[in-house]
Amino acid sequence: MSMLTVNNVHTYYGSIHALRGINLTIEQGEIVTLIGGNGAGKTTTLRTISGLLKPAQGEITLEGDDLLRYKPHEIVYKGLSMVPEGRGVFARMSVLENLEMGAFSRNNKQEIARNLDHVMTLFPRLKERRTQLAGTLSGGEQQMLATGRALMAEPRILLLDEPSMGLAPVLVELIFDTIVQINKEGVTILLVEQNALMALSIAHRGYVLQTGEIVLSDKAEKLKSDPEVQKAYLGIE
Amino acid sequence: MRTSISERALDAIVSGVLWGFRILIVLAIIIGTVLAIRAGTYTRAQWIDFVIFGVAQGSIYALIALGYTMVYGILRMINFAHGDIFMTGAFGAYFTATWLTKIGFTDRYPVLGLMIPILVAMIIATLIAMLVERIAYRPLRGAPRLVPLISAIGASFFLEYSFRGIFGPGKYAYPPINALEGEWVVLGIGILKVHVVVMVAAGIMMALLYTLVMYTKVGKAMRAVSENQDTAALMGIDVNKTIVSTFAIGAAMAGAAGVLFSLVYRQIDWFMGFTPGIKAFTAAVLGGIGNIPGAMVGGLVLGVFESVGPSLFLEGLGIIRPYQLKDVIAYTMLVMILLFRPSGILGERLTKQKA
Ligand SMILES: Nc1ncnc2c1ncn2[C@@H]1O[C@H](COP(=O)(O)OP(=O)(O)O)[C@@H](O)[C@H]1O
Ligand SMILES: [Mg+2]
Repeated sequence: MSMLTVNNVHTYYGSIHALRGINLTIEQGEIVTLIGGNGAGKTTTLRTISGLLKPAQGEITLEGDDLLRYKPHEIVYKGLSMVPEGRGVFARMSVLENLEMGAFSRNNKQEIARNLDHVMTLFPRLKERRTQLAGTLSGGEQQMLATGRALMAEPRILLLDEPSMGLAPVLVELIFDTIVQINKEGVTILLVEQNALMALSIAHRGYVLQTGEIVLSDKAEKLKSDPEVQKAYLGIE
Repeated sequence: MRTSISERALDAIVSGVLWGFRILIVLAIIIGTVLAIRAGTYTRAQWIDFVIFGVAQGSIYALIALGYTMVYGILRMINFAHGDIFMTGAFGAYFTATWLTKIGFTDRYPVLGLMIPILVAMIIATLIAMLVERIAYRPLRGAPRLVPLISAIGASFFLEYSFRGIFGPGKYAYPPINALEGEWVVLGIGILKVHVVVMVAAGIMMALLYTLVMYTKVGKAMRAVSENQDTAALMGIDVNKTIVSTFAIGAAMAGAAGVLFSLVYRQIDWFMGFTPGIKAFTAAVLGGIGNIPGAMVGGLVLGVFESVGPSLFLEGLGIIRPYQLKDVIAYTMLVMILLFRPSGILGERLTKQKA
């Protein structure tokens, strides 16, 4: 059974038809990337999967379980977490409190403590700054915090919305390395990116989204060498 | 071009008038204060009395203000019915306390005779606030901001006139607790026992609330939801449940405040929530709306200002019967803060995103 399937999903904002029949499949253990230009519908796709938006039509299943039956906060309990666009850290809460919020869906104190240690080893910077208010962190640190916070829920699948946005190249590399490591530890990844080159270099497969529709899907290397993709998203003429 | 020049001129005039207004009020306060102290109408002990009364009064404002500020923090909405929630708590306490006094319980166990009505008031206020949230606010979530505001005013009228209809327009005398008659002498200063109880009870309630908000899972969820509802939901936080908890906790504080208020003023009626409600709202704005410590500080500052102000700077200016103007002080303060420092004493600037 596939980890996540999105079948013919249509999502609207009022009368704006933002997703026009999206189909995606993600297998257990994969890194799949969803690339596309500004306004293509990437964020809308992730918000629909995580329950924040209700699709007008279509099906979304997580290991066969119909996700549309659940409220957004219930979906976390099913093993799906999302790092929202623009990180969405709780600015007036400390780094540690943000991470605690990430573990809101869990009760076992020992397991939570073990997860916290794990996140702190993934991102030593967060350990240094654990008592600091999240709003005072740099963009890169906030991205680490948002990612670490999502991991605190111990998800089986992690959705990331443009983790590289606004970050210096060194930091982008660090974040992407960590994504690969998280994946090696067994977490399935759906990565949304405008930085298509970086995304395709760590992903197994990719989908190309254009004005609310999937226009291409293939192995990541294939997409990387596709002339259309190169022209539109990789800046190669 | 011409309009823009005349607009700029108008802006300059408006800002000049505002500055003049500000300077005038500061001058009036200073001159009044100097004259009042020179005149020496009041003794040192009397000034201390004014301050203590102000702190007692202010801690009641602070308790009510917490509900305004917490609901604003989480929904960006002014819960206009909050003052009436305070009134419903006072009514619940009145009937309980009257009965306890009649059967002689209050005289035998004064501490319980105080605490049981407070508990009843908190429960009743909480239940009514939860109903109001469910019926009048939740269906309007996501509507333009004016809509829930109008609904809140409607809820306020509904509660006021329901209570007027059920209990009549008259005033009820709140039964005194005999053990709380008279004064205690603390550090050589005589303080009314009732005022001590009010300050201590309010202090305990506020400490409990602060601990709850800062250190418990529910409290942290409330803070997370107040920052971003969608992100909070992504953490697994049930946003609706958290919003209800916020209303409930704010209402419990208001219910307790209703009892403390009744102990001081000894009478209750269907309209008693209106003025303290507006005062507490002023306190919340004064402290920076959305800010919990701000509401506490704002309440105390307003209480003391109101209590000391009439004798200190109004009487000094030769105003006769200045005590009748004590409400004017609160309302002047509200207008001044809104004009000059909308973020309040401890508040952050209202950013576009929040407003
Ligand atoms: N809150 C909203 N209200 C109305 N339209 C929206 C909203 N959010 C996004 N859209 C529209 O939906 C489309 C897809 O947006 P989005 O999913 O944010 O794209 P992406 O993440 O790929 O940049 C765009 O045309 C955008 O203008
Ligand atoms: Mg986006």
